[in-house]
Amino acid sequence: MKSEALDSLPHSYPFRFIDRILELDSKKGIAVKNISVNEPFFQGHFKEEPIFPGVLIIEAMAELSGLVMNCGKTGKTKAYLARVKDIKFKTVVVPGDQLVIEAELEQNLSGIASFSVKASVSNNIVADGGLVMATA
Amino acid sequence: MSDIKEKLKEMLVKRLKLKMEAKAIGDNTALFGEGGLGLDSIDALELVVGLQKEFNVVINDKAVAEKVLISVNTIADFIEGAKT
Repeated sequence: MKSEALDSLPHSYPFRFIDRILELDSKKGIAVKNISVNEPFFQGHFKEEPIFPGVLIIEAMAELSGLVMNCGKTGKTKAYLARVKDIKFKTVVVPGDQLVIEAELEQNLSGIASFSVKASVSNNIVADGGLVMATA
Repeated sequence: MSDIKEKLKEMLVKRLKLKMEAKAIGDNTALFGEGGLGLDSIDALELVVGLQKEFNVVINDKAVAEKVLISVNTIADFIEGAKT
């Protein structure tokens, strides 16, 4: 069920930033992204000090939020990132970390939905804030 | 009632980051479209979240949203109506 949900993401390698879904329903999702040193962007971000880009944490949050919106529906997830609200990055994410992403639906008004999102490593929050996703 | 309207206008400016003062918004100023505040559908969602958090009123469907989110007056009427 959860792996099928992951298959509904239109994203694929090298632009999928969710490896596994831990929990998913129409209100909330929790997913994991393992940060591997082999990922291509680490060649430049940064050569001497590999850091998982903050924008890609937002991307993972957006992918998961899309899955929450699509939960219970058939076919590919089709949700566009419409707004990034006050996302704060508290500490860097580096190769070897396991990023746990959470997205919780706040409000869905006819296909435009706001989410409260956070990402953590070893139970420490590394980023949090809000996103708005739109299905049309 | 006028208290609610003042509070609503302040919420509009703060939540939607409008570049104007709360008192510059008229009670009947259109929230959407040209000639009004020019809000969009993403602002509408933010407004619905704000109404729930700050005024404890829930708008769950589009039909209600279209009737309520017209002006400060229509939202204030909805909040008043929800109390009774």
